Amino acid sequence: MRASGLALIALATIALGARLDPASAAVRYIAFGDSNTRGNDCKDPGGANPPTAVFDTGTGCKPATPCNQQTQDDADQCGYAYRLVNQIAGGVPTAEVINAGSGGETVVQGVSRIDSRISAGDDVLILIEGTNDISKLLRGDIDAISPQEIANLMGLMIDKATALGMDSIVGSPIRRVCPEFPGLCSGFDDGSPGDPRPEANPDEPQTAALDLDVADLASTKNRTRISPWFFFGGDQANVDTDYFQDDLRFGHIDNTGYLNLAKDILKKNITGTSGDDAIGAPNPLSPIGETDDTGVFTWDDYANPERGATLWQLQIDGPLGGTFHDEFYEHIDVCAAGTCSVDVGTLSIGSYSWKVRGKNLRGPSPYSADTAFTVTGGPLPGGTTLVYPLDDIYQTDPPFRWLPATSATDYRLHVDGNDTLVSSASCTASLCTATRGVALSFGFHAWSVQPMNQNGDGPETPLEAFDVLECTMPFDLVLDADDVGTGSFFTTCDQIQGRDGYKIQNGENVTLHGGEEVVLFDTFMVESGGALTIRVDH
Amino acid sequence: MAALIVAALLIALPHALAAADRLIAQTTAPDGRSVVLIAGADATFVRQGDVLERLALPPDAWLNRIGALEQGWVAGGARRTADGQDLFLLLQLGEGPAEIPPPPERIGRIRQSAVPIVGSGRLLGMAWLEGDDLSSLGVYASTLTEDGWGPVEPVSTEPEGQVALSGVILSDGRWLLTSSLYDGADSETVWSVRSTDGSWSVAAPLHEPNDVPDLTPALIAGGDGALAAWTFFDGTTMRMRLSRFVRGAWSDTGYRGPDGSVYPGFFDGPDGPRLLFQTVVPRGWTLLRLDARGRIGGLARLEVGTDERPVVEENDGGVLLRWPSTDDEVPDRTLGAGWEDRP
Repeated sequence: MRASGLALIALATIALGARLDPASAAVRYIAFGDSNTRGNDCKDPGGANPPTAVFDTGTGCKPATPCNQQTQDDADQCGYAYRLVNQIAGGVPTAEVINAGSGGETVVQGVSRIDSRISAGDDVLILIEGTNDISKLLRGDIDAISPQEIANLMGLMIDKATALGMDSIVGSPIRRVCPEFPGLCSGFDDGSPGDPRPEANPDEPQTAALDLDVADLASTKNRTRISPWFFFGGDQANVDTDYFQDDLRFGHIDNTGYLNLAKDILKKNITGTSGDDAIGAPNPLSPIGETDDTGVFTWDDYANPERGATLWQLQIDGPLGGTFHDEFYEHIDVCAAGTCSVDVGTLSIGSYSWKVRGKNLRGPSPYSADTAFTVTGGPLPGGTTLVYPLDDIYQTDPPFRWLPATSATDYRLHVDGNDTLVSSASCTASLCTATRGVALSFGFHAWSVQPMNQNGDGPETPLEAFDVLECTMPFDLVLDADDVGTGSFFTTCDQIQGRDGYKIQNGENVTLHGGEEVVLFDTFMVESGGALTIRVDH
Repeated sequence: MAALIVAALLIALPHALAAADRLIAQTTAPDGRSVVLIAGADATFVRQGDVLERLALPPDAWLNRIGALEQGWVAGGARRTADGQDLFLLLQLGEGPAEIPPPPERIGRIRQSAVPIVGSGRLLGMAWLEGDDLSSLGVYASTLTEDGWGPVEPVSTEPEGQVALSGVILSDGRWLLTSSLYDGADSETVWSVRSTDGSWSVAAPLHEPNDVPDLTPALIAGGDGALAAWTFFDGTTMRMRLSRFVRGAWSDTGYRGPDGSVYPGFFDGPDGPRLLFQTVVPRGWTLLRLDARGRIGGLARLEVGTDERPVVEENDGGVLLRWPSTDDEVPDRTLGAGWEDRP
């Protein structure tokens, strides 16, 4: 326990559905699953046990307590949750482990029930389910689901927890099969219909396959996995003693098994385990102070991944008052190279405050200090590149072309000292085009473009010179790569100008590449006032 | 029109009423008697009407399907073998149940989910799942005549594998099968039909393409077609839906069950199909009274604290949900509910 003036707060297990005072800031674990979570013979009060049933002494429940006399607290002591909270070491503020198991539950039912058992403020979901689905699958029941779908539905439950900002521990299903321990299968043969039960088929590999599927699921979702079967250590005596001893028919975990399960969970750096206490508050990097409207928030990642965050919670208070952004983000989606970054989109002008905290199996970290910043304006537009005209042209009112600039809403087209305002509506995704409607004289000219937006001007391009030539015959011809063969192409200088392609000097031999075809142009000429004739000579 | 609503009884099932036995399957005989397959504490039972029959199954066999015959019943399941698992079929024609040898030509290590195909009160064949492992089961079928099993007919052998097989005979004599097929990303409810010439249609989804799990289909024949119900993930929770098969095609009835509606199952009621499904939160069971076109004529629902599936009986103006007991000293647990006219 911490040496402080604060009263030491006892670890507590909370009855089903109960909640501690939020002010206690407990790390709240929700143990969700089937009877392997709920506890054998300790179903919901009012549930399906006959009045003569008693708690199994081996489970650690109150011995010889008829189920119709059990209290909620009695029932909650039957699963691993009770043992888990008692195994959590001192030195943490509080921990709640809520037993939210439901005997006999399948993942189909679990997906439907979990919304009623987890909520904002819960910290960690411990999900162990699928055993009953495996049983249906092995029997070939009419309501069986595919083995792949079992893991998929467990993934849906993890997603639901994630949406509430909860980290998750996902467990492989508890086996009712005994492929590694065939001798144990005889324990299932008590003369009941179907015994030795099909689950006892020593060749049954399905639970082992699902174990791998759950491992993949945990890996894909960056969540912690436990494999309850394997902490028995492959020791026959352990399995006999700790796993099946108290319930040969259904193969429930017994008291020691639950304790081992709790210990296995404890190995996953949950709260109260050795090492660091809860993860520290993260360090905000930006925005701080005055900034533009780029809503990108960055903070330092934790250096130690073992103690790092699985999820991040980013809260932003806006100029209108109150929190306008409170979202959870997956660590693997937003963090790289020691820095985490989230883009929430453009921010309006005003004063803001933000904070962030990490969450992992140890619960939430403290929030970072409230970090104030003021949006004084948005980002300036980026630069652009001139495309046309760049050299000799024959047009006196040429189209001016340049590349779109980021964040630009307008462009200042500067030609020979005269400015023309061009809206970004004149741009496609790849090219901006503007015609001034003013005839240029023959000879040299210079132009540039400067992107603009409401926050100011972006960088102006260097001046680019071009030469307006008089259109006389013959002249230099610009052709497209497709303009091959013999025929009429252009009749006026204007039609010739502004086309990208090969420039062919009059009277010279030029090779054109038109697709796969190579065409040798020997000579050509432009007849004044008529069609251009190209003679092709191979 | 004033809604005629008989308030449903919403009763939390006290544990004194809880069942120790598990209902495996329920069907209805041509004469209207219900035929129920029950897993008891130490044996499997069949109950026809009020008559409970204890089955002496081989120790390595189990049952999970039942069909009602004109005189008796037929139940299907599986049985462990030295090298895997084969089908197990039990036939009761009035002189005590007898095992029927499964169809020969087993090709996979595992056979299971023997679905009796029953028409006009007679066992006409069987469909089943077969493969080398439970992730890659295909669908097979065979007819049964006085000469024994016909050749094994491969119906759908996609490598992804299928589960939750159901089968019925349509009024025109064709066989209709549904199952849940994992397509590599999620499960789809698929169907195949066997024409009277013995050819099978290619298994195809009976719903629109989607990327959510479609699970645990149930099937019943009625009128000139059939109805199928299954559970799908609607983005938030599991929810049941209902489709109708008529003139060789499926059409969505538009019905969607409440949040967390799972594990649908059909049986024939006095005046049409009945569809029973579970609601997870609040925990309970809902019964829909349908016509052959899938239109809902009423529903009855009960909140009960058990996942165990009840046997459904109808009485004057209401519904009785029964959790049968196979112990002579323990009475059945029953709860009643009234019909509401529409969901």
